[in-house]
Amino acid sequence: MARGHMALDLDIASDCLIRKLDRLADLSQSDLQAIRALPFEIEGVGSGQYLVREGTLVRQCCLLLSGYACRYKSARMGNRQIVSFHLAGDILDLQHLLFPQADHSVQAITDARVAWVDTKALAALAQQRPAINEALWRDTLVDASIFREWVLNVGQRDAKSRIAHMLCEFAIRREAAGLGAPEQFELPMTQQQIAEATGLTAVHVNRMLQMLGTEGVIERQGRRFTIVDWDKMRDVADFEPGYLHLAA
Amino acid sequence: MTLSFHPVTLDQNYGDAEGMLVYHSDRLMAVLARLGSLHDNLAGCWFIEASFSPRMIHTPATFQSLADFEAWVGI
Repeated sequence: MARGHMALDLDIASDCLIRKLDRLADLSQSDLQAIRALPFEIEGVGSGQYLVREGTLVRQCCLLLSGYACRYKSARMGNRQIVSFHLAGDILDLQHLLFPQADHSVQAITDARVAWVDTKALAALAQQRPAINEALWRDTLVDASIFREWVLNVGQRDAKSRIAHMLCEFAIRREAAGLGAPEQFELPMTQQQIAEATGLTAVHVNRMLQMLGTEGVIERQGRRFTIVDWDKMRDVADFEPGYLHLAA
Repeated sequence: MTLSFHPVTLDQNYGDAEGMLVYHSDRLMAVLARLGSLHDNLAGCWFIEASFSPRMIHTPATFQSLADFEAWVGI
């Protein structure tokens, strides 16, 4: 799909980035104006499309405006580990401001709209504006905190907890991004993608979702999820949202 | 071919309790489970539930039959 510069789209892109960064640092009016002046390019992408490809040189940062994406690395045999899921408002590759060669891939897992912004323009903005720099830095630190939690999840929790934790995080992050209440949501990932994110097989994911349903923690209708008992869900998941720093 | 199969009942629910111990000579190589109706298009397939071969540990493969599993192992 062609990239565009429609005025309305550009407003949506800058509003999205402002909403994200304003939660992370105290931005001034002139900071907001500077963000609005960024050279965004808007693009609609299909499910499965690469937004970052490992090994390539990245010259544009990608802001997810709508839809969902996953970040992953692949082993030599081709099996992959999803290391994070992303939703509207996430900046997908801030690290490329400083390390232009991609060391992992990012792929849309649903149809999505993204805003591309030149890495040099964003890096210059960060250098000129301390509050924006702080917000971007905080965003990368929150990302790092989430990665640490995922290592703990994959390495030390049992199968049911891993999946419950992933669902809790998705629900809370979704709420923080203004996408709706955490009790009920449409899950964009396939069971295979959940397996790749939790170090399990799709067979185990299926069993554990069934078990969470039988225990009365969740209800499912296709991909429509309801968390029936949040206290129990958090307990099963060993979920303490502090690592999200309320800004994710 | 030196694989032998010994049926067992696995302590798990959701229709996945039919299991098979797989021996290579006298050594336990893997535990397979026959997937139940919960697994839609995989129902009836054999799934590597546990294995003691490094090759299989990160291979979440399923097989239509024990013969397919045996061919895949390739011993």
